Amino acid sequence: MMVASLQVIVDGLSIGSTYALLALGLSLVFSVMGFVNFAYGSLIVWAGYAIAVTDSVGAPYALTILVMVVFTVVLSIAMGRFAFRPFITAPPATLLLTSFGVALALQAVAIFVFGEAPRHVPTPPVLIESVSVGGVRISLLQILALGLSVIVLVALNLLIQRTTFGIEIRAAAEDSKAAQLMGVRPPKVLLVVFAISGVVAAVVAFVWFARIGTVDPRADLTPTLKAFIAVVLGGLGTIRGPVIGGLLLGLFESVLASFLTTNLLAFQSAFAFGLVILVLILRPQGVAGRVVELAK
Amino acid sequence: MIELRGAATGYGAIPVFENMSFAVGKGSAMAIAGPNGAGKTTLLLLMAGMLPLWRGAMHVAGNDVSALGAEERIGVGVVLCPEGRRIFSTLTVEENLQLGATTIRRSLHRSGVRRAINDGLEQVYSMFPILRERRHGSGGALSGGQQQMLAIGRALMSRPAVLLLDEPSLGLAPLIVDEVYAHLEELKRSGLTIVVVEEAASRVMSFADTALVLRNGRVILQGDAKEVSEHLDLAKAYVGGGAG
Ligand SMILES: Nc1ncnc2c1ncn2[C@@H]1O[C@H](COP(=O)(O)OP(=O)(O)OP(=O)(O)O)[C@@H](O)[C@H]1O
Ligand SMILES: [Mg+2]
Repeated sequence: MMVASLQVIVDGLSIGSTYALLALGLSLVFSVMGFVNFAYGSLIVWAGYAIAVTDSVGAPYALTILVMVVFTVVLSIAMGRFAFRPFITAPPATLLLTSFGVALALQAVAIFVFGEAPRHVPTPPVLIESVSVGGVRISLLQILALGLSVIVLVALNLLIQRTTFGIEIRAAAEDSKAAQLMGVRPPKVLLVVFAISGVVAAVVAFVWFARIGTVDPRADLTPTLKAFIAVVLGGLGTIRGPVIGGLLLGLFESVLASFLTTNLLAFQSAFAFGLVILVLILRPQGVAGRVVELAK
Repeated sequence: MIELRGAATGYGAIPVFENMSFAVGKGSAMAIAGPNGAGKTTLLLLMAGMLPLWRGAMHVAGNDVSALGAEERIGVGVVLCPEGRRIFSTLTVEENLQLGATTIRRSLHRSGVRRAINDGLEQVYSMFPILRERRHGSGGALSGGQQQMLAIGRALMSRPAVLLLDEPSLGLAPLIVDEVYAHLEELKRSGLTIVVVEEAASRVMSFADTALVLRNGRVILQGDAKEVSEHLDLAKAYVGGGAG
């Protein structure tokens, strides 16, 4: 029993830490631009294709990951530059709709280029083989997922809390007009924020595809939804909120997986949404955030 | 020092004013007064580069700055303390001040930046000792008067030549208003050019050298602050209201 619950916690934290990063990437753009970027999952999908394509020309795994990181960051910056920056002064609801458009467009291009069928994304076996530590199974990937999340969190926190650029980001997030009056360039802040959220997406994509092993054009929905659920659980507008939300979601799923019978497991997402509805009713600002709307 | 010639601007396609002209000499202060919706804030936003100049020109120290945006206006020495102060509550007091030095950070070489910012902080803290005491606290936790001091300090961090203030006395107790103006006097004596917008004319007129009274985007009085102020009093006495 002890071991079983420890196993649930380890599994929950490792997947939860990935959700935490996903949610953080989403929340970061939200804080500065005031809208939930529904095209965020598209970054993950395209990152998956970047790994698959680089692998198909025979590149070693490390190189596929390197190419994926660069590609994802560039794609994220391009998204910010061409899809969102032109509307920087538009109401956030406009940006929210734009993000739906971007997600659909990126999906259409993926279908056109790669077809509907899932493609294999390679994972070195050493990453997913689990070892038993005192009866608890744990894989290198799970440890990496946790470790990378901690590193990204600490780095992001330092950047935002301790650097002058972090001051500019926080100022632009709180009051973009006033920040501009102090000499901040909101378009530049936007691009940097998209770059950072691209780095976060790349780290997520690495863990994500190592775990599931395939990518298809419609695979953007799951990460976007997970991130969305996590930010609703934890609350938007802080660093703490999405992290807590992501970990909670991971633990919740892991607990469900250990209780539910196989045929009920198909409804895991339904349960997660049930939880979201419950949280929205009981605590609309999330466990640790402020009250916000999809487009503030 | 700062001069507007035939300036026009507005929001969308709707003009707020069509033909605004004035000049403020170096080290002197101009008051802009007028009722709600007269266009006072619009005028300051235009000078700060937040609104485009539709027609006419703006000069600072003889240079045409008409085409410059907000950030570059700070670069040529024009900075605005906005209406409502707009202190960042997610930043500490010192971070608010640091933010004021954003353009300095970009314009100077690395080694010069730290010195310039430390000098700036020192200058602001010696002018407003309360800000030094509260420097690690949130900007949002300050009182209204302290926030106004912080807004002025933050603007000073960019080493301005022209300071624009939008209703600095708004919501402050009379004693605090006097304190704010005492500091503005001090800044003016040090050579800073100052443009102050106030809805209530009384306090600002005794501080300013020249004055402008707006109504519906038109200049209805312009000239020596003392004379403008007397005109306003007269108008009040006769009409029981008036532009001030
Ligand atoms: N963002 C905006 N969009 C459209 N119209 C605006 C905007 N801001 C102000 N206006 C209009 O421009 C005119 C001038 O407004 P402005 O804010 O400059 O007046 P003000 O003199 O500063 O008034 P107050 O004393 O209330 O601050 C008003 O008719 C106002 O309705
Ligand atoms: Mg105003």
